[in-house]
Formats: sequence, C-alpha cells, structure tokens
Amino acid sequence: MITMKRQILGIPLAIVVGLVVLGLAVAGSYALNGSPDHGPDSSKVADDPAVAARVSAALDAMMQPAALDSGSETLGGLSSNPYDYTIDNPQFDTLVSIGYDALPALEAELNSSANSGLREYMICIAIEKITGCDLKQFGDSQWDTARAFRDKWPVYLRSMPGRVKDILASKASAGEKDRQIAQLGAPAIPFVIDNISLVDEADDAEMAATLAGAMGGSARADTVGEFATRNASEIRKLRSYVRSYVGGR
Amino acid sequence: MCAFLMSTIAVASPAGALTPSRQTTTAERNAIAYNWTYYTLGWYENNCLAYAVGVTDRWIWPWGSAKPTIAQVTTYMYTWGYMPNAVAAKRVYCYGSSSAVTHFSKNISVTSTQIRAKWGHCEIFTHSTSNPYTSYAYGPRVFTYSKA
Repeated sequence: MITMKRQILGIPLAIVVGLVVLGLAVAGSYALNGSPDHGPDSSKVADDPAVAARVSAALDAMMQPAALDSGSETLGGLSSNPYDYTIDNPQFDTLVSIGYDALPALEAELNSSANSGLREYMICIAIEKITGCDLKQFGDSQWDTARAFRDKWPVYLRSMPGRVKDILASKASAGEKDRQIAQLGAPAIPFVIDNISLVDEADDAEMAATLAGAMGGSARADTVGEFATRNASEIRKLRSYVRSYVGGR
Repeated sequence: MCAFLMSTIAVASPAGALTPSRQTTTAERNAIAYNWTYYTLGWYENNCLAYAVGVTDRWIWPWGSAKPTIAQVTTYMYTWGYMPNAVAAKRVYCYGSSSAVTHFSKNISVTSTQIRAKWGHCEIFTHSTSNPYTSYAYGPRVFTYSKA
C-alpha cells in the first residue's frame, strides 16, 4: 500500500521535474541563439560543421593585426570606420568568398557573441557583402552597431516576399522596378522567380540581368526562367536561407 | 540535475570578454597628435564615436564605407541629443574636413580645455587642447556639438 502511494506521488513529481528540465533546456537554447527573432538557429551550422569551421577560422584570421591593420585606410588601427578594416584584408575576402553557405555560420557567430565590437561589425559587413544588401539605404533598416544589425536583419529578410511583390505589382516603369529589385540584393531573387508572372515580357531580359547582378558571379541568362535554371543550386541555397526566416518552402 | 542547472546558467551568461586594444608606440603618438597623455588601454569593441557620446562597450558607425560629411554627422548626433553648437556642457568635437569627418573626441569638463578620445581600436588619450591632431591621421577640428 505504502509502495503504491509512493508510486502515485512519484508520477506528478516526475512530471514536475520533467517540465523543469524541459524549461531549462528551452532557456538554454534561447540563450545560445538569441531571441527567436534572431534568424535561423545554430543547428543549421551544426548541419555543416566544415563550413562553420572555415568561417570561424577566417574570422579569427581576419582579426589578427597583420590582416586587420594591413590596409592603408586603417592607418594601423587608428580608423573608426569599420569598413576600412575590410579593405586589403585578404582574410575578410576569404570569408566573403565562402558565399551563401557562410551565412548561417556568420549569423550564429553574431548571435552567440555578447559583444558588439569591431569583430561583430565586420561580420555584419560580410553578411551584407555576401548578400549584396545595404540595409542602411532603407530608412526603416538603419543600423549603427552590430547589435542593431542583428535586430534589423531578420525583420528585413521576413519582409522580402512582400517587398518583391509590391515592386513587381507596382505601376513603376520597368527600369525603376529593376533598380528597386537590385537594391534589395540577392535575398530578393527567389521571390522574383516565384512571381515571374508579374514581370513584363518586355522586361524579362533586363530583369534577368538585374538578378545576375544581385548574384555576383552568376551564369548569364537571357530570361528570368533561364537564369533560374542556370543558377538553380545557388538559388536553392538562397531560398532555403531566406525561407528559414519567412517560413514556407 | 544540479550539474545540468549549472551548465544551463553558464550558457545563459556568456562571458562577453572584451579584447584589450592595440598599443601605439611613442613615435606613432607623436606623429598623430601635437600633445597627448596616455589615459587608459580601452577595447577593440569601442571606437572614437562611441566613446565621445559616452558608450564604452560598442563600436558605433551609422554610415557606410565613405567618411561622413558634417551634415551626415549632425543628423546622427541629433539622435544622441547633441546640437550643432558649443553652448551646452557636454561637448563632442569632430575632425578632418566638412566633407570627410575622420575622428571624434569629447571634453572632460566644461571648465577645462582638455579633451579625451579613443583612437580607432587603439588606446584612449587625453589632450590639453581641443585641436591637437596633426594631418597624419585625423586632421584639424572642424565642428563642435553639445548637449546639457
């Protein structure tokens, strides 16, 4: 009887302990990844530890004085302009050359850092350079520190489907639409392809050139459809990356 | 359970250790400023603009790759409550030229002519005047902002 009572009492106790453990695990996960707003979770990086290791190594190398202060614009570390430290910094170029694959790892580095210094700012510059985006050109996306970028970037990516659709459906001239799509950078590419029916036939070739410009080093194409076919692999990466913010497939 | 709790707390409180700034040589300091007194080391996580507006744990740069104009700086300084004048007690000085601002410093007190500045990712220095820089890196004082 006493044993049965103990067993009956033990069930709710086990549930409470289980819930506490679960709660702590979730809290730990949030602490690692930042708030849920802060982009794709680090599990994406864990999916490809080789890329994460390359990114981490490039970041460490980028911050070594020999690389960091090598550009003439830095004046040996006297400049306050973080962009100066990316010029003539071969390790920064190595980081950017990893391409879209580096984005989850870069964001994980940014989100897991408690700091908002030069290193973190240069990570933001690398993310913008890889994606061909300049958030500061948009009034609602201005940022002045790495911490501010970390907050603005997910919001920007989540707005991408709406921004692209608004531009393509607008009454602006074809040239103006091309210009506005180019401003959005590479994250716009999958959504232009998804909304190809909104692109005027007469603007197809120009829009294909715009998308090629947004995706540096892409294969040339005469139409958006051809662009999508020839760059399918890179577009798949971009789509997966942006979709991790906006949802959907 | 205790071990799990401890590990979770450790993860939830990342160290966020700051990196000590690079140290300049005496020759560099003499090339940069007509007068200087070493104040303290500082961090890689802090730059002149942040230090001038009273922030010591962030690198602040609201512009792009080009050096900002005075008009761009003025617009940004409004967001920190600074007006483009030298009337109020807390002052921020900027250097370079009106088309390319290179550096920022702040006054130490309203009664003193001394200023203090962080040099890039290097140390923090005190200067006996608000116009202490040679053309080696920063150049002359070009504008003053202030707030109460």
